[in-house]
Amino acid sequence: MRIEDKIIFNEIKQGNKEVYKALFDDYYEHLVTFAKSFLFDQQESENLVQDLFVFLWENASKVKIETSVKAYFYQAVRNRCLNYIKGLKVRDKNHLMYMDGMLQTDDEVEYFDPQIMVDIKTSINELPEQMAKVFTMKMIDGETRESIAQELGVSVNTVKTQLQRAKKKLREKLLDKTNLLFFL
Amino acid sequence: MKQSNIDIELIRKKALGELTPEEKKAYNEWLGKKETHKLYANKAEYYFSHNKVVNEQPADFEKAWLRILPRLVHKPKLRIPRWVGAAASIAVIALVSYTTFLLVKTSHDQPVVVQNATNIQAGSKTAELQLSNGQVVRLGSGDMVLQETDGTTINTASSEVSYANNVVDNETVLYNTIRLNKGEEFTLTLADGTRVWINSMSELKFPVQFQGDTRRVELVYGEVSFDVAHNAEKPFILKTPVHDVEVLGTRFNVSCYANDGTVQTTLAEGKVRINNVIGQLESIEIEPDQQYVFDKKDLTASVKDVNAEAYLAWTKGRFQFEDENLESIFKKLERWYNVDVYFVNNQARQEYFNGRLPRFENIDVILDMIEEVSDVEIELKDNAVILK
Repeated sequence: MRIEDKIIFNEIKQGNKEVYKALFDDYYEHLVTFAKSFLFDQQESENLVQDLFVFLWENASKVKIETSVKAYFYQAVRNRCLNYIKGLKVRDKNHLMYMDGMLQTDDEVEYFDPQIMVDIKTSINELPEQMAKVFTMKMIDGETRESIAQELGVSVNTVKTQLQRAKKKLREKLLDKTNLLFFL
Repeated sequence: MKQSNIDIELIRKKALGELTPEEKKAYNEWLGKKETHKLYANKAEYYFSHNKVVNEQPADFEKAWLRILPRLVHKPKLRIPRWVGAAASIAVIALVSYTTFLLVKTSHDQPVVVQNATNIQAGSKTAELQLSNGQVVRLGSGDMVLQETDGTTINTASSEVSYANNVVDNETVLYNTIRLNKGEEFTLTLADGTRVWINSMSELKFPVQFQGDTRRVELVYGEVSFDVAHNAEKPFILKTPVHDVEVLGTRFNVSCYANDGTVQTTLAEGKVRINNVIGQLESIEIEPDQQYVFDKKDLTASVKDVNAEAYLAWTKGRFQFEDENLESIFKKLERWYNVDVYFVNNQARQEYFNGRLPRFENIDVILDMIEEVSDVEIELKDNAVILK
């Protein structure tokens, strides 16, 4: 567990509402976007993420963070979503919604399951060169848009557009791939 | 047993029209099982064909945060400063003058008269007002006349702000927000003449003119007391994070703090109806000297008989406690004085008291009074109050 995460979590355990609010500001939107890929509903997704935040406040001392706060958040939202759809007798066997959700958020995808990561990397290689480069730098290496723009000698706007296109393409590719898997 | 779950992939393929006859059968079987399945399938279909959700909108942080805030009721673990263990005792406080305030421990009725001293000062009559254009004005320093963009005149005095009942031609309703920090209180007169007392750590959002057939204001968090101007044609509705309070003309108090487990609505005069309660369909009316208590954790509610004046006493410059325990009393003091309270002696939380305390005295006076009649020892160091 990273030291910053440890500090953050300790503060929340002590009831530090400012730190908690900062965490909320950082993650709320991303997590809602992520949840929408499972629930297909804005309000339900917001409710689910809000419930998670309340749970975290009340149970901070019991919550075990294994890798990072971020990984915890995505995993927790995913579990809650899977529970929700389980109630509707639906499952996500091939992690279709999981991948989709990850690609929809603006966050780095460093916390994919290892197997899914392999799939993503293969698909990245099928993207046009610059698009693949931008995507890798942002989503895998976690660089900022600004530093990518500087390194590649393009504008920040270009980076943004490339990222969006890359995500869209990748998503289509991945979805097709699971399609194939599904047939096998 | 037959596996009745279907994979999300089937739903996606259905949306794209790619189901094989066999899959179609499984899909339809699932779909027909429950109404909720159909609802979910419709939303999924929309998502896969439009690449966004049916009710897509940008996540509203502010609103989400305000929905979370009243639900944060857990008590953070005690964090006792290192120096508490040290045997340091507080210097004897100079005794200055007598006050007429009394505090009585519920179990015995020896009234105690206590003395004045100086140290941490009481709160003040100040606030912050946010106009409809986002501009923020500090209130409490003196007279000012402000004007809203629809022509409404806002008069501010040293402890009060009031909205004139101007005739405005503006179609859109403008909202102002009054916000109070720890140690602040303020009085507000709305455009219809309704008077509002606002306690520390509160936020109230209200229209600068009431238009339409209801008068609606919103308590975002905190504590407010209302003296509602009578107007049977236009019901007055106070919205809180957990329910609405509908009134016709009345005096009542609502307390809704993040670190309290309940939201309390206390009626002094008239009649109020509690509507739109989270998790409940029925509305309920309460009578004068009754209190509606909503439990934020269980989402349950109850009505109890109280002396309403005790709950409105803060609007008259005093604290008044009716069989209230130290934990609750100190939560109120903490909001008013710039102090943090620590209970080293956990039993002390559950000592009950009746009585009145002055609101505009320094904290030493208050702590002395409590110490005199209780079994606890109170230590004040810097801004920490420690109960042993």
